[in-house]
Amino acid sequence: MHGRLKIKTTAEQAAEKQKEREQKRKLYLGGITQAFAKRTSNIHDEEGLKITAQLLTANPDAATLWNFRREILLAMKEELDEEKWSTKLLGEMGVVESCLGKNHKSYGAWHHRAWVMNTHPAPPWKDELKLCNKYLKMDERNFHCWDYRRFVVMGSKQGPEEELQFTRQLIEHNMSNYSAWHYRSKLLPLVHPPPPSTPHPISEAALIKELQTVVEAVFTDPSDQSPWFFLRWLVNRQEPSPRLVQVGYIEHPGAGDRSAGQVIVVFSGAVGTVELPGVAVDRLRAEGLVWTSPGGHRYSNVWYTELYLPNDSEHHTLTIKCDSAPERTLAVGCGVRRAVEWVGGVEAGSEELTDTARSTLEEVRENCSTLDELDPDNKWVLITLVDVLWALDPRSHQRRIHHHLSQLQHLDPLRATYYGDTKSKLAMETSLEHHRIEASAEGQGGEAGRSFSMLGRSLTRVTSAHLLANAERVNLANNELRSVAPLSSLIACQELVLDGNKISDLTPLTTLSSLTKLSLAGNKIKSVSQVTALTQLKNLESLNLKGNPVCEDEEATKEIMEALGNLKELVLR
Amino acid sequence: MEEPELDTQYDVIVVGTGLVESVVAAAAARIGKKILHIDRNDYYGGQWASFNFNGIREWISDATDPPPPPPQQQQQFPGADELVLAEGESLVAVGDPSSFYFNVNQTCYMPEVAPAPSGNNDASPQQETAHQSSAPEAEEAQSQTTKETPSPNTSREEDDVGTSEADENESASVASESEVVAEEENAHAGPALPTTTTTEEENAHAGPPLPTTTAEENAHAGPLPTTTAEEENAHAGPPLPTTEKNSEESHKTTEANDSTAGNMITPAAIEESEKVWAHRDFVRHSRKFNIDLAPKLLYSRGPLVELLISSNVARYTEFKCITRVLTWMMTGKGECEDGGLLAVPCSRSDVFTTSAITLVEKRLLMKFLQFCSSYEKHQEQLEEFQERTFGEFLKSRGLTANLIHFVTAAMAMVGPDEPCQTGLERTRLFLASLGRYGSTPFLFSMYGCGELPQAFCRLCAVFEGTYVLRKPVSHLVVDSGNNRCIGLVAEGQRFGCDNLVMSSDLTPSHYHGDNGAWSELCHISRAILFTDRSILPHKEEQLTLLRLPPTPDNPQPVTVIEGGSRAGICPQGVYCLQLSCLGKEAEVDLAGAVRKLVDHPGGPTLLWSLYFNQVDVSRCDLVSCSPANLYLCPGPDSSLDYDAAITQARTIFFSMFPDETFLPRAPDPDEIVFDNIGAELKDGDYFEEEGSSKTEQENKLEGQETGREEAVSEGHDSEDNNAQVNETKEEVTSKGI
Repeated sequence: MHGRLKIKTTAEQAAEKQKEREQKRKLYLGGITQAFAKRTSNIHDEEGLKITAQLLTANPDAATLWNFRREILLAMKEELDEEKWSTKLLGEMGVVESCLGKNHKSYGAWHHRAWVMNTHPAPPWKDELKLCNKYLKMDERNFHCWDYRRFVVMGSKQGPEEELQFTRQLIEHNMSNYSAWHYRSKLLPLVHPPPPSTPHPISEAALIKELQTVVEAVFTDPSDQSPWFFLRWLVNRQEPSPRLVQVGYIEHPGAGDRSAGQVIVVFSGAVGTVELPGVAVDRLRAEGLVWTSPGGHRYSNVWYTELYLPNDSEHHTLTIKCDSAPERTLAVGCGVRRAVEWVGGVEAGSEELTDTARSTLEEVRENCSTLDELDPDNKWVLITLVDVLWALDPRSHQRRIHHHLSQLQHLDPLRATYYGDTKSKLAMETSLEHHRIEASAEGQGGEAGRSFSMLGRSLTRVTSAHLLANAERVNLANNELRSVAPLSSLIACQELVLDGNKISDLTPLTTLSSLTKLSLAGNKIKSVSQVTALTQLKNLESLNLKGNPVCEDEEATKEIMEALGNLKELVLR
Repeated sequence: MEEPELDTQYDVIVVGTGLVESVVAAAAARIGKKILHIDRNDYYGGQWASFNFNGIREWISDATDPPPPPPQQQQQFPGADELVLAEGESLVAVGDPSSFYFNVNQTCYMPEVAPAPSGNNDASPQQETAHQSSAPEAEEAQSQTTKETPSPNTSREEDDVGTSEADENESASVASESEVVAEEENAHAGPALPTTTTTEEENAHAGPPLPTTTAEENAHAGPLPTTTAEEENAHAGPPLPTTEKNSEESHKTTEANDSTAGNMITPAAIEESEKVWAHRDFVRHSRKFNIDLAPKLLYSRGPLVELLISSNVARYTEFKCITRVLTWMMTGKGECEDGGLLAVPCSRSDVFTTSAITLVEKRLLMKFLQFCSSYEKHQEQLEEFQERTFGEFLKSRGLTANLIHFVTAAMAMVGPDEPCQTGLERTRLFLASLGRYGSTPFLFSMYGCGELPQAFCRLCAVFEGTYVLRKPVSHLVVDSGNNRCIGLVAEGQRFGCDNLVMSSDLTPSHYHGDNGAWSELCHISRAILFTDRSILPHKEEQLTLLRLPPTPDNPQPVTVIEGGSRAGICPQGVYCLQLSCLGKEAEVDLAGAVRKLVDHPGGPTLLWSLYFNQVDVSRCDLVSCSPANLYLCPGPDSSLDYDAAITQARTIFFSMFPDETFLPRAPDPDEIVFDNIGAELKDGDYFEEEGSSKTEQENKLEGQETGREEAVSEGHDSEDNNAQVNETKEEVTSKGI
C-alpha cells in the first residue's frame, strides 16, 4: 500500500533551506580557514588541492585560492614525471569546468584555464575550441570566452578561415550577435587582404560577398544595429596609414639677407618623428633639423622645423623626401617668401574607386534607398546612406548628405550635436578640397593658397584644420564654433578672424606665434586671464574683443588694457 | 499480486483515459477528491493513444473485426438485473465505442522477410489485407497479455524479442526513469543499427502509471524547459566537420538547394535508403514505434504548455521541437500541380538566411510579422478590413504572392478567404510561440502523443487516484428523479459517485445532443505512412510540420507531421508520416497529398500504410441531453493543437468544482513526504528529508551564494551591451521574430 502524501509547508521548507544554508556556510568558512592555514605554513599537498577545488567550485571567484592552487601544482611538478604532470594538469581542466558551470563569467576560472594551457607540455588545443563553442552557445556575448577563444586560436594554429566560418554560423544563428560581426571584421582582412592603396578594408571580391550577406541582414531587421555597424565598416573608406598631404616653406617675416623660414609638413594622420621626411637644400641634405609639433605632442598631423637658406638672392630647391612617398620639391629663394604644395586630396582614402567598387557601392545605396521607402525614418538606414554617399563622392552628393544629416538630427535628437559636427565636417572638407584645387592650380607660390575662409556656414566644429597649417589668413567668422582647439595647427597663420562664434577658451591660440591680427568679436569670452594669456603671441599687433562679456566689466577691461596696451590696435568696445 | 478490493464510492469516477478525461482526473485528484479512473482497454489514452507496431496491428484487428459483444460478460459477472436498485434508480446501457472508427485499412508494401542482400527492393511489394496482417506473432502476443501487465508496450513483445533481450528488458524496467532518459540520449547519439540498439529506451515509457508504484515515483524527467533546451542543443549538432571548412558560403547554399530543389537527396539519405525493410523487421522492432491515433502538436505558448508548466506535470513528459515547417510551393502557374517542398522562414534567422525570398520580400515579411504580433494596437489600420478577407488584407500590405502563400498556408494555416481577423489571430498565435524553445513554434510529444494523457494520469495517481485498466463499463446508474448519474456498473459491480466523467464514445445514444443523433458531427480522415526516407531529405533527421492548402487534388487542407527515430516514434532509418484532414473516405481524401509527397519518381519508398476515419464529436452538443453530473469528454478533434481539449477539461472541472483551483503547481518530490499507513509511523509523522542522502561534500559544493556579479565589460563587449539592449527591446515588440 502506498503512502499518503503530505506536502511540506512553506515554513517547513524555509526552515530546511535555512538549516542547509547555515550548514553550507559553516563548511565553506571551515574550508577557507583550512586552506589559508595550509598556505601560511607552505603545505603543498593533495588535500590542499581537494579543499581548494571544493571551495572554488562553490565560489569560483576566490582569486587567492586559485593562486594557492597554482602554487601547490608547481610545487608538485618537481616530483612528477612528464606523463603524470600532464595528467595532473588535465585534471585541472575538470576543476575549471565545474567552476565555469557555476559561473561562466568567472575571471579566476578562465585565467586558470589559460594558465594550465600555457603550462601543459602538450596542450589539448582542439578540445579547447570545442569548449569555447559550448560556452559561446550558452552566452554568445561572454567576453571571457571570446578572449579565451582568441588565445586558443593562437595556440591551436586554427586558421582565420575556420574562424570566419565559425562567425558565419553564429551570425546565421543570431544576427544580433555583435561579437561575431566584430570578430568577422577582424578576420576578413587577414583572409581577404585588400590590395595596397585601395580604400576598402578587404579585397573587392570579398567586399561584394560580405555586402550581400549583411544587406540581407539589414533587410530582415533594420532596427538591429549589429549588422549596420558591420555594413558601415565595409562601405567606409579606410586610410591604412597616414600619408603626406602637404609640404610648405614659409619665410619668417622680416628676415634679413640670410633668409630664415619654416618647413611645414602635413600628414593625413598623426605621425611620430621617425616618419618625418628628410629635407635637402639644393640636393644637400640639411642636417640637425629639429622638428616640432604645434602642441608639443609626440604624434601629430603637422610638423615644422626651422630652416636657414644659404643665400636669399639665389634660387634654391628644397627637396622633401618621405620613405613612403615620392619626393617633393619646392622652389624657394630669390624673393619667394612662400612655397606650398598639396600632395594628395583632402578626404580619407581619396583614391579613385574601381568600376566594380563603385557599382557595388551604388547598389548598397539603392538598397538603402529602398529600405528608406519601406521603413521611413530608420536612423540606421540614413546613417548608412550618409556613409555610402560619402564613400562615393562627398562633393557631388553634398546636398543629399546634408539633407540626411538634418533628418537624422530630427530623428535622433540625442545625437543631434554629433550629426551637426558631421555636417561641419562635410562642409569643411568640401571647402578645403575647393581650396586645395584652387591652390594647386595656381602653383606653389599662389595667392589662393594663402587664405581660407568659411563665413556663416553654421560650423559647430573645425575639422581637418591641419590642412590649413600653411595658410596665412583664415576667416571662420559667424559660425557656431565653441572650441578653437583644432586651430593650434595654424602655425603659419598671420590673420585669424573668428568673429561671431561661441568661443570662450583661447588657450589653444597661444601657440600661434605667427599671428599678427586676431579678431574675436562677438564671442563668449568671460575670463580676463584668457585674454591676458595672449601676451605670449609676440607678433600680435591687432586684437578685436568687441562684444564679449569680458568687455562689459570695467575692472576686466582695465586689466586687459594693462596687459595688452602696447598692441597697435586693441578693440574692446 | 492480488488485486485489492476497490472501494465502491468515489467523488468522481472517470471512464476512459483520453486526454480530456485524464486532465480532469488529475485536476480533481489534485484538490483532494477521491478518484476512480477506469478504462475498458488494456492501454492508456483511448482515442488519444499511441501504439507500438504490434499494438497498432492489434488495434486494427479490433477495429475491423470488433471483439465479441458483452453478452459473454454477463455470464461471467452477475447480470445487471441482479443488482439491487433503489427506487427511482435505473440502468442506462453505455454506447458502442466501435462506431468511432471506420474505413480502417492497412497495407504492407514490404516483403515478409528481407530478400537476400543481392536482391533489390524492386520486387513487387507484397500486399496484405487488414485481416491477413494480424500475423501469428501478434496473436500469440495477444494471448499472453495478462491483467497484471496492463500496457500495450510491455505486454505484447516477449515473443518478439530474443530471450536475452527479454532479460535485459526486465532488468532495465527496474531502472529509474531518469537513468533511462540518459540511455535514450545515448541511443540517439550513437549510430547503432536498429538491431543492436539497446532496449532501454522502450522501457522509458513502457511503464504506464501503475497505481501501486506511481506514488513513489520520484524519478522523472526534468521540467519542460530544461528538457527541450537540451534537445535543442542536440539538434544544433556539432560544429561543421572540417571537410566543409572552405565552404563558407556553400554552407548556406546547400541548405538553400535543399529547400528549393524538392527532390534532392543527400548522400546520407541514399545510404539510409539502401536498407531493405521487411515486415519482420517492423515486428522485431515493434517497440521502437509509437504510432499516434491522433497526432497533434503543441504551440510553445499554447494552453497545454502553460498548463504543463504551471501544474508541474511537465516533469513526466519529454518534448522535441519541430525543426522545420514546410510548405508546398507551386512552381508552375494555373492548373498544373507541379511544385515542390520548401522550408518556410519562420524565425528572424530563417528570414535572414533563406534564399527562397528576395531582399525586399524579407523586409515586407518581417514588417508584416512584426505588425501581426501586436496587431490589436493598430486597430485604426484594420478598420476597413473588418468585413474583408485575410488575403485582401495581405495584399494591401504589399505582400507578394510568394509571401501571401507562406503566411496563409504555413503560418496562419487558414485559407486566404478567411476573415481578416481570424487570419491575424492565427498568425499571432504562430508568432507568439516562436523562439521559446526552438526555431519553430511547435513542440511534439516525444514517444508519441499518447504520452500526454498518461502524464496527467500519473499526477492523478500520485494524488491517490485509483487506476484500473481493462475495466469495461456496461451501464450507468441514473436517478431518474433528479436526472443525476449516481454511479455505474462495471463487470457487474456497482460503483457510486457524485460526478461521472466519461469519454464521449461511450455516450448512450439518447444522450446525444439531438435526441439520439449527433448534430454537428465531423469526420476526420487519417493516414499513417512509413517510408524509408524523408519527404524532403536533409543532412540531419528533421521533425517536420507541413500543411497542404486545399487544391483540386486534395480538396481539404491536409496536415502532415513527419518524424523519425529522434522523435521516438519509429526505428532509425524509417520515417513516419501522419496525415489528416476532414473527410469521410481517408484513402480518397488523402490520395492527392500522398501523391505529392510519396508517390512520385525519386520520392521515398512506402513501406507500410494505414488509413482510417475517425468520428469527431467535439463540436456536438454533449451537455443538454445528459444528466447534469455526467460530463462527456470529446475525443481528438481535427485541429493541429490540444487547445480545445484543455479548454474542455477546464470547463468540466469548473462545472464540478466552481470554487476550486484548476491544477495548481504539483509539489516536487523533495517537497513531498509520505506517511505510510499501516507501517510503523502514525498519521502526522513523516520522514524529514535531512541532507543525509547527500554526502557532506555534495552539500558543500552546492549553491554557495558568494559569487560576485559580473560587472565589468570592456572593449567591444561594451558595444555588445548596446546590441543586447536593442535586442531585448526588440523582443518586447516582436516577440523575437
